[in-house]
Amino acid sequence: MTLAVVESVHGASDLRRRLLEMGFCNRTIVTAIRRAPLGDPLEFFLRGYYVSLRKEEARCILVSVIPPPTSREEKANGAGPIVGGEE
Amino acid sequence: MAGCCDGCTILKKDQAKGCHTAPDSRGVQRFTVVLAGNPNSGKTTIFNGLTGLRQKVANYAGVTVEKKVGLCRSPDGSWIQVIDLPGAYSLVSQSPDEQVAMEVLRGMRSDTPSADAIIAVVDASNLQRNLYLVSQIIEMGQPLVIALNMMDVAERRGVPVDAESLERRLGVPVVPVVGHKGYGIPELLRAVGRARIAPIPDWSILETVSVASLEAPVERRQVVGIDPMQADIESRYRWIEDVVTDCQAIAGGQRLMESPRVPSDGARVHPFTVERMYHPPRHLSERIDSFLIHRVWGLIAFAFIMGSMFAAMFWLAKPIQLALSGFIGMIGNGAASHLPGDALQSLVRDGIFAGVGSVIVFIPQIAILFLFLAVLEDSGYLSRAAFLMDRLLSRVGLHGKSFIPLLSGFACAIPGIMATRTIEGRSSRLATILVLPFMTCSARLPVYGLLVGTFFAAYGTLVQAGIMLALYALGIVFAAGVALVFRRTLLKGKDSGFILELPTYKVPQLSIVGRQMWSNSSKFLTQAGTTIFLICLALWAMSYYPRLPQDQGGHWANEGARAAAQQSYSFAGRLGKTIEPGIQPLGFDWKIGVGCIGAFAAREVFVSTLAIVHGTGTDDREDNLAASLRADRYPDGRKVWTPLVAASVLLWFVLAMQCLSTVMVVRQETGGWRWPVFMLVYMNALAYVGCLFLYQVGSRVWGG
Repeated sequence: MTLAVVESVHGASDLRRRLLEMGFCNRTIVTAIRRAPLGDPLEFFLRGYYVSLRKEEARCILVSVIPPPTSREEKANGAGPIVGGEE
Repeated sequence: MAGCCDGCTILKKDQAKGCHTAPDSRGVQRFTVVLAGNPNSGKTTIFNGLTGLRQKVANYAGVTVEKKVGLCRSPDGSWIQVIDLPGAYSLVSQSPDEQVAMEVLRGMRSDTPSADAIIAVVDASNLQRNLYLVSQIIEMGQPLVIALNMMDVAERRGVPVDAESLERRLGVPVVPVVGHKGYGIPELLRAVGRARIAPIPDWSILETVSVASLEAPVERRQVVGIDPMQADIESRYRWIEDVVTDCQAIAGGQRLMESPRVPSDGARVHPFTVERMYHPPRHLSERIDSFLIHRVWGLIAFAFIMGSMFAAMFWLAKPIQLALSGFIGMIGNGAASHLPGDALQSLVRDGIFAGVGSVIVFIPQIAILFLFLAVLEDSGYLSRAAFLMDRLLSRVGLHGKSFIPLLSGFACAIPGIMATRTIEGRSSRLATILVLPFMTCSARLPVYGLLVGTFFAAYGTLVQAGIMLALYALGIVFAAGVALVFRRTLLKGKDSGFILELPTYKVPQLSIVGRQMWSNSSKFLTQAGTTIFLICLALWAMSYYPRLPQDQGGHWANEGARAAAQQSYSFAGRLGKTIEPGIQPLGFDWKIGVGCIGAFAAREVFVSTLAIVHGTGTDDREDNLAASLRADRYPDGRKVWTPLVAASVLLWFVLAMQCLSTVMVVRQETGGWRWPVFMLVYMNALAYVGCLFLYQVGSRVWGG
């Protein structure tokens, strides 16, 4: 499970509005939970609920990955798309 | 007021219906309350709690959005009309559901009375996103009460909400309720009564938070550039975060004391956000999900759930279906024997009761299917099924939510088409509807069974099973291919995407499941049932009239031969012969043509029509029919039925759109004749070309 802070949301206006309305805004923390068995869509946890997004939608959300406090590996803290930020 | 409303208390349900469909018929001023809220917020539970059995489901004019209206008795004894709006995440509409919710709340729909008060249902265990819609409703300046639902879940999760501080912050009454136990419903009603007369706080969320939004980090605004839409949404969430921190900090004060693990750049992150959102809670729902959508177990569980749904539809329903149709047939014969005159007897036995019978046989299967769908939906599994299957379906331009409707299509296309309502994007929904009839419905099975059993028996059981399987597979392949073509051409529209909430699992509620199953089954009965029944009557008339001239009456060896001659003399027989030149290139003779015409009522009618045309009687003596099909010859001595002809007829049944009740339901669901007519034309054209190709190529290769 990777944690990240939402930096910004891009994409077509309708999609962008819906993502913002579903709470992907204000630097909220998003947890990537899992992929669907066939690889797509992805499941996320934010603001106390679970939501699934297709990869192409998740790509519109730019996040900074939060390195786990106990992590052995060093993770970059730069902003990147939410999909790319995983693993 | 007394006249109409006192009536309702003692009248039965149907009369109560009349009462609230025309609330103003006697000049009665009825108070209207609208229930609004996010999907999965438990709105329906509260609606049921308020109205009990006094409710009615219809459609909003021009759209396929369910309109649920009910009656509820307020504490002062007057009646309140309650409207359960479709679930919405926002009042800026993106789906037909949200469009309707917005229009009703703003009083813009002529078919719905405008709201005197609004109850906003809020899921206390998912406060932030639920309050987003509230932030929009609050600004509408109407009497508003918040029903804070699922307080028990919130407490169990360790995020209890303090209703009083929420009330103070929102400036509107907040009533804690536990919908499925009925706690808080009377209090909710009293609060609505008070809110009606209380002054409405006049304020704008945006004004209260505009200062806060200006505090957004400067460098960020420079990089991204904040447009008005984003500013609006972000301000609302900023306000929400503030409100939530307040009312959860008091209730669950202890939790905030725990030391949160602040990320390295924690200074820029809202402390509440870090505390609550750092790790998803390890509650039961998440543990179930780690199994049910696991990459291995999830798929196995999915196959198991779908398999048992299928097994129940076919094996559980079968004996009930047989018993019912036997019973109907018995009554029909009994009733007919008491009637004078051949025509009247035949009308009752072969027209009315046969028609009722062909509707009735579908009911057990359809009811079981709707029961499963309701349980899957109410438990929260439906969205998991969509999550699991989206990848597969998005490749052909469909949606994860298309899966269950398509699967239902294996029982009957009609409930499948009705179930596509959950698909939000119009293009993917239409594409799903248009390919749904390719799924091998149960009405095709008697046809497949007869033809495969009669003409491929010589090749052994394994080949027969293989052919059956291939017919199913062929339907799926065509559905996928056609969907892909449509989504690339006709229905290019970009999908609404797959932003799908995975709600907390819950135990399905009997009242919700039962109601859903009942209302859908009765919708099937009224929509499909009437069509099937009327077509059965028309088919009866077409094959009964005109009668054979009397002087030819005595020449027949037996009753069956006479019936066959009558059939050939009737309108149906003549129609079959008229179209024979058109269907000859497919390998069909006029009798097969008559059968295909009969199949427009329901596909399995093909078998009984063939039986009549061949004079083997309508009884279930399939061996007789099989024998006379094998023996049937053209006047020049050629066999009518060869394996190639059988294959061509089978292909016709895989591809052709015959079931007129499906066409009627598509009209209903798409709101016009355009799509059902298109469906009828494209599928039958495809079937014609397919069979033409198969028969022409086949007869050249194998010499007929």
